Amino acid sequence: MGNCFLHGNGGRNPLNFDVVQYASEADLPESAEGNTIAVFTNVDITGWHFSAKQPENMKQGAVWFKTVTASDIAFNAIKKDEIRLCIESVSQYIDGELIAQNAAIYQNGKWTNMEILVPYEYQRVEYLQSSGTQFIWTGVNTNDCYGLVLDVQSLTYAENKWFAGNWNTQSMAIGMAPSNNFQISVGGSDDVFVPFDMERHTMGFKGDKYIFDNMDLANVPNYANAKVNQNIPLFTRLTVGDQYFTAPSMRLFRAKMYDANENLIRDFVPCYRKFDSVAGLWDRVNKVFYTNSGSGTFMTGADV
Amino acid sequence: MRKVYIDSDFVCHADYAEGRTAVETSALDKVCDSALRFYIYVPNGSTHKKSNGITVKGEFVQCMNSKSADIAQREYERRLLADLQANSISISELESAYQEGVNSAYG
Repeated sequence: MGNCFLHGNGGRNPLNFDVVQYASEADLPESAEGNTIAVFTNVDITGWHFSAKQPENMKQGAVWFKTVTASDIAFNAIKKDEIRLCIESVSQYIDGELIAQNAAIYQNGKWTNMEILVPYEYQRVEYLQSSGTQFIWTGVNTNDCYGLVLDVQSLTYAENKWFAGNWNTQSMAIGMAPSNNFQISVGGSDDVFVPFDMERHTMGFKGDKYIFDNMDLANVPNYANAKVNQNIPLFTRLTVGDQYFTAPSMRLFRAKMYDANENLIRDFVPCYRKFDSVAGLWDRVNKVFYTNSGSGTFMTGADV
Repeated sequence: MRKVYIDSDFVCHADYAEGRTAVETSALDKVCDSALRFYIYVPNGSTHKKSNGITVKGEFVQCMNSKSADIAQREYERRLLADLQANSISISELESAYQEGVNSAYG
């Protein structure tokens, strides 16, 4: 829910908001006051808290709007920037437990679902960091994959080490090529090469486009060549035949995968499971937590 | 596998001091000494309650400030590269001197 904001400023748009209860999305009124938050629950809301840390002594029915502890959005009072409150998740205290709830916010004349990035049982982190021995299976086959976009940072240059993908007779892979380049390859006929650095980048492919930050790339993915009927891992590339993995040391901030109609089929968010502190990726689409299939332990970035 | 020292808040350090415990892990192999203080390491069997109220169980490794950790790591790598280049010049000078000696002996 990291992109969900309450906002206002000290002048014309003070930070006013209201919290209301509806049984479901279907019950929402056509319009409402700006910054009205509708929580979908059948349990009466008895109060609410906005905090990064879980409030103590919550009462039955109280709603906790978990706010993020860090944000890249700058605030400058002199420039009269908007004050923004970024909400990470919504949960309600029911019968002694915090239960994740869906919610919507009315802003700019419409209701927007406040989709949860990770459920309450997980703690979102900036990134997962691998040392070169960890990887995660996505459960997506190369034959069904028409988009893989990574928000990624390599921590070292190493020729022929890959952030994700598969190689058989042809490749569907994103990683580091020879001669100090990033390489994005789908089918191997028109690959993208970009000079390597150790900064964070968005890279991959989606539909008929390759993606590397905001570059305008004319290269075209060749999906027909890349259909090798193999599962795609993240944090490494699987070379079929000898099960040879080529994993770098890297940070993954987010990963998204798409089908032939450009529907989102995986949306991986880095986090760790609170009860046992195991780090992994929460898939927002299928609501499944994916953990390490390699060896060692993922390092995590800071809690967010 | 590397030996690091963790304090009572599980913050990592390169050197021993009173109150610090030595632990061995491969998770921090590539982290330079000056960046270690930006990491927490909770060993297997230990638990740590963080300032945000979340209790984590070992083995757990987290970078608490990646920007500062990266700055320290890059600075270390720059120094290392400069040292390597300086050493490479010294070796090249030694090779030249050696070659001169060989040439003069057989000249």
